[in-house]
Amino acid sequence: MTQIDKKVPALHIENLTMVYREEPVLWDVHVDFPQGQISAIIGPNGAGKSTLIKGAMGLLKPLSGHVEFLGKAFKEQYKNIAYVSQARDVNWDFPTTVLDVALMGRYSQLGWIRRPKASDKELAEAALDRMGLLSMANRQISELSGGQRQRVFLARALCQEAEILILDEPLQGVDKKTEGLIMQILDELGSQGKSIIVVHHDLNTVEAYFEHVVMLNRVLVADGPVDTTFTKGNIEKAYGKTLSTRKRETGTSTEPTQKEA
Amino acid sequence: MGIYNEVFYVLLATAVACAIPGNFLVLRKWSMMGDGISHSVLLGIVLAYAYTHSLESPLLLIGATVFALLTVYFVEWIMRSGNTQSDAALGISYTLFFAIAVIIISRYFRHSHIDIDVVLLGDATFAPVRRIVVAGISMPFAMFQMSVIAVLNLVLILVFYKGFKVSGFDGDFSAASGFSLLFFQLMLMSSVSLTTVAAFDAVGAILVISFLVAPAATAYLICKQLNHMIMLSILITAVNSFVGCLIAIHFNVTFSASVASMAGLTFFLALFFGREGVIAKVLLRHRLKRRFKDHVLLLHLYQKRRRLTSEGAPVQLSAKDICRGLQWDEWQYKRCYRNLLKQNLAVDAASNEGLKLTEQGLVEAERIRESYGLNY
Repeated sequence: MTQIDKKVPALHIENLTMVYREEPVLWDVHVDFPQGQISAIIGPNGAGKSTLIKGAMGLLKPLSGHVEFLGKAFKEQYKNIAYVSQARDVNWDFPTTVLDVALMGRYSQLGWIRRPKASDKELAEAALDRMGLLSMANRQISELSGGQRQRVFLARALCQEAEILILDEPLQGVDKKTEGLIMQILDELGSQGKSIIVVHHDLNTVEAYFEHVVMLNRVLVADGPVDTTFTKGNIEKAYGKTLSTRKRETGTSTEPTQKEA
Repeated sequence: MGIYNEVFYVLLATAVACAIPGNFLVLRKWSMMGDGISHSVLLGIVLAYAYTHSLESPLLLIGATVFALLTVYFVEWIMRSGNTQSDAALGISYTLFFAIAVIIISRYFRHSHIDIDVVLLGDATFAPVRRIVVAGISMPFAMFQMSVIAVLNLVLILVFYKGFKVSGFDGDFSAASGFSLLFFQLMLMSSVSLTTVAAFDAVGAILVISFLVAPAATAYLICKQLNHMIMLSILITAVNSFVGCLIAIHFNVTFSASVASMAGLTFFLALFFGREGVIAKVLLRHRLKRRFKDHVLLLHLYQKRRRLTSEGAPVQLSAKDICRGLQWDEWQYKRCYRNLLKQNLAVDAASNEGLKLTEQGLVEAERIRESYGLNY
């Protein structure tokens, strides 16, 4: 990887508008995700959190917008981006093993035709080892628990050796221990200068886990360092008043369960 | 080549050609696609006939192929456009195509004998009648055609294996890694429709549905990995064809029916005796149930012991007490009783086959309570 100017944002989004059926899901979003930091995208149900990253990567087609990853278009940069999809969009009954899935992290480097080599397998095994899953390498993916599945996905992202990691709700439905492990690995990656973008749903952990926050509710509500941006006022703006007061008083987690694109 | 040999080779080539894309139909829950295509091709045949007015024209076969392709693209399009499940999308598409074809026939060609089997012969027994000479060797046309398609499918899967795997498992990740979902789906769907139409022509619709679905569904019960599943499905379908042919010859029954029955039979063998088959599951459930019953008895003794000890009463229980407490009949109790004695968790409490916990039993009971989270 050639040296990249530290001032170039990991992800730069301009004028992004995404429309779903008749309604705009995201309206004219301008936002930057800083390099070398762990950023959270938060917002209520249907705020367009997943849509923002899917639109940025072209997995869903934007109505308008310009996007750059480390100063380049997604098509020129995709090998440098590790994506962890939302667990519910994955076919868990597919006949594939833990090691197989980790190896898929090498696919973007290998291209359509080339087979994984021994060195790719070593990378995959090292990544599984780091996630504490090496002993399960030959298990079928359907046999794993929710937390173990997310760990496999993070292993897959690790062996991609990408500069940018984009994770869609990696902490959804995982146990506390796995949550700790995932955040610890993301922290380590962050301190190695990797840029990490996480779609997140638990307001209680934003301050503990993240450096940068982007708050959405179909439009950009606020973005910046967590210390100055994740304020009561902004939470109220993004979530509405009732919820933020409840959160502040009782510490209730705000858990989006409803389907969101 | 003897006639039976030729029939076997036709069946084998068709079986292998179908088994490969069949894996992906089963994994995408599109198993009945073959059935759908077998009906919707009629519209292609009718439209081609309307143009040529000849039942002999090769355009009829081309029309059938085009509509096989259109069916899969149409199903895919319906699924992408709205909230429709794959099976419903298929059910709607092929019945619509078939119905339009029937309307056209009844309105314009009422007196011509036009039907699917005019174009797609569909009987393995008569396949050797139509012949082709390749490299100086005369062979059944169907055998040549299906062998070519089998090889094409094999090459397709070998070259693009990674793409088919990753796009089937995790579509968003696949697209984000530069493996275009659209490309791999189009390749797969084209392979399915071409294979299916050619296979109808060779061996008939029902057997094709069996060839597409049964070997893949059988292999899925046994394999953990996609490459193993594909290889095993080819092996299974080859064995089915061979044994099916032998049975058909020996008992003088229809080849198609015999081979399709074999496919059903091997599926049920795998269902019963597979890694997670019916029998394995029943055994496991039985074993677990017995172990839980032992635990129930052990914990019952443990709890009684705690209560009775605190009241200063004796700590042993009679068989009668226990059976009444747990609402068990005698033989249920006897079996657990023996198990506990055997494991040294309890000792015979002198009279009437009652039980008393040992020190070891006490420790074990506490461990079990711990592991089930029953401590309070």
